[in-house]
Amino acid sequence: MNIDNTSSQMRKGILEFCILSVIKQGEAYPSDIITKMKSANLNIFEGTLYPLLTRLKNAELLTYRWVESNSGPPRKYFSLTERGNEFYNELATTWKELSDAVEKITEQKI
Amino acid sequence: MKQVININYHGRIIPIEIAAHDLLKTYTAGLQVHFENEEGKEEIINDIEGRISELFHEQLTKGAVCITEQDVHAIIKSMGMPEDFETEMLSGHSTKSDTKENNFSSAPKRLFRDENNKVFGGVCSGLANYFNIDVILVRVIFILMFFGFGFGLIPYLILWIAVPSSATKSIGSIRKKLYRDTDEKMIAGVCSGLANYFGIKVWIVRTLFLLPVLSMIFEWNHFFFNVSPSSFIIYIIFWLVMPEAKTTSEKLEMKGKKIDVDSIKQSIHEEMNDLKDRAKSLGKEAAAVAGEKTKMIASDSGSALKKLISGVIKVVAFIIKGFVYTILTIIGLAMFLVLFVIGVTSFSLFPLKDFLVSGIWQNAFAWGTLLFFIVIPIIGILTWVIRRIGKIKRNRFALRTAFASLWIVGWVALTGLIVTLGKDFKRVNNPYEENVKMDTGNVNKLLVNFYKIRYHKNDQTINLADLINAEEDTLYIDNVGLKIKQSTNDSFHVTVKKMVNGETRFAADTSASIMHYNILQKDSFLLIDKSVGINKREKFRNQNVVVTIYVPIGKQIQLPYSKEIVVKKNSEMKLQFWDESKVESRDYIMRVDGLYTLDGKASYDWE
Repeated sequence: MNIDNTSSQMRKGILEFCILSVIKQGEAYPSDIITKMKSANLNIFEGTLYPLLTRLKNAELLTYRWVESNSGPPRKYFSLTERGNEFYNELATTWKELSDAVEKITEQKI
Repeated sequence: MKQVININYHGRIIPIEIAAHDLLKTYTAGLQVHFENEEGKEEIINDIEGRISELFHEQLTKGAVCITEQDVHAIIKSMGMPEDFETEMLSGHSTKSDTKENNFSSAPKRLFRDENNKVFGGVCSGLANYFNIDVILVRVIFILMFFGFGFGLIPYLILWIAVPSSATKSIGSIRKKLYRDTDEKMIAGVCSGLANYFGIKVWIVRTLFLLPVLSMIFEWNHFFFNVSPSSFIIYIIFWLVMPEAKTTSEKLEMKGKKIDVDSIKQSIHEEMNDLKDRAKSLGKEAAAVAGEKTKMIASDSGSALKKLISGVIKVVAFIIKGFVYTILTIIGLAMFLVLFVIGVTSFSLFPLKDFLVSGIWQNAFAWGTLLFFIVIPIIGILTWVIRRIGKIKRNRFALRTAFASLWIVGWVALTGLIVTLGKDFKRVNNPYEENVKMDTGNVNKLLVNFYKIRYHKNDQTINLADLINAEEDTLYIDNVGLKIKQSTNDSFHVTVKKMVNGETRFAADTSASIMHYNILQKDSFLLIDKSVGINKREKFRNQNVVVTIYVPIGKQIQLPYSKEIVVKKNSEMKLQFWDESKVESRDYIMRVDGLYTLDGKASYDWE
């Protein structure tokens, strides 16, 4: 089994979940999402974020609006669509179950 | 030499080194290839480029002349290479290793304030990182220093200001701005806005604001805090100064990255540079004027002499510059201090106003003077200073007009107060010497002492009113003069002359007749009130008293003596404040030609 591939898949899923939960807390601007993740010790490249946002938007989980900024061109602010909200809730339940299970199993080992 | 070109990059004009531009082009080309098969490829690349343009803009506003290769490298590092995008994330490095990576590996270890694990300024965790020890240990040391020795705060503040924040290392940090946070508000969102700005918990700020109020609750008799709504005023100032965060971008700016003191520091730096420039031009002008004059004198002399002279002039100009500068700073500071002192004293003296003013009008004028003439300028100047530091320019005109008009109201109130009070002081009563009943038949030596009226003191609080000597309904003024004269017969006698101002002669006479002033005599003891008592109904109308003691020839008198009590040639003395513990008594004897000490010195030679 290719460990790189597995963990990459895992991260990708978690990352999407994290992005959605940041946006769920309120309209967000990409660099704000990065800041929040970094402050939680979740270090990602900014370059990773933009394609993910675009994909989520194309999947109609996210929507955005342009907001005027004081310094330069307007910025994109993302928010969850109704579908995005549902999707997030599903992910949250799955994550909860999964992390509980994983915690139990890994702890038993020790 | 590196060539710099201007490019229009996503709506911004960016000066950039050619080499850096080439690097950027390569990077974008890499992105193009990477996202070749991606749906929405154009949009993704557009977003990334937009972000890069924003980061460029930020570098330039931080003061960079142009975008260098190094800047582009740093930005690429934070954006990530295309091949990193899918696989390289969460690869296990924690913040610590990450921050080390951000520092170029060759760079020596530097001290940063740790923004990620901070309570106040991140000084402790920064130190812990630097020395590789546990942060709890450092915090305990600082807390012990603070409570145990009381000076832990100072090094902490110095480190907070001097040590750069770890946020300055990473590129792309949002500059913070001070906004009122109306989403989390109790009153106007000032506290939560401040908490956001400094990146601390909101309850810390709220507690700081509530402290004076709490102390007021616990110390009922506290004169200063009782009257001074200090935190209330500060709150109002912040309310005026801080704009409300309305749009989403403003809210983000408010929470922004944690730059805290750095941004303040930066604006102070800018201020200082501005000041320096002005000083320089001042110095140049002075040097130019001086230079012209010496040119005329020194035109014939050798160039060596010229050089010497211009050198001297430069030195002199430098000294003058420094001198003028120091003086200006001192004047500015002094003015601020004076304003502050006036504010504090007027607040603490204000309870005494009932001893001075009477009637609705005078009371209204007194309140108007306090609020509009004294408090408004203090608020105004503080507002100006904070807005200056925060570089807030909104509503400038409106604020200025508001403060100016309120201050005019203050002037009106002050004038009204002075005029109405002046009327009350217009006339003086008809003073006459009142004989004090005495029974001093056999007394050969009169022992004089001053009676200081004491009142119940609350030992726990320091009262400014202590200095003025006031009780709740009575004010004691040390306005008593003492004269010693030769008696015409062979017994001691004492007279009291009371003087008061009033609106009319009659009013003044009435006040004089009810003035509280006592002299007590028992055997050879004479007890003289040190001060005149005034109650709230009578008001202060410059009440003063002159006591005259007539001493028969050949008899002695004992007076309290201290440096401050000096008997002048005409044997008149004025009672003043003095350190009572140091007062000693001295004996004097009355002779045909005046008062003498027992060892034979004339009274006016004592000094």
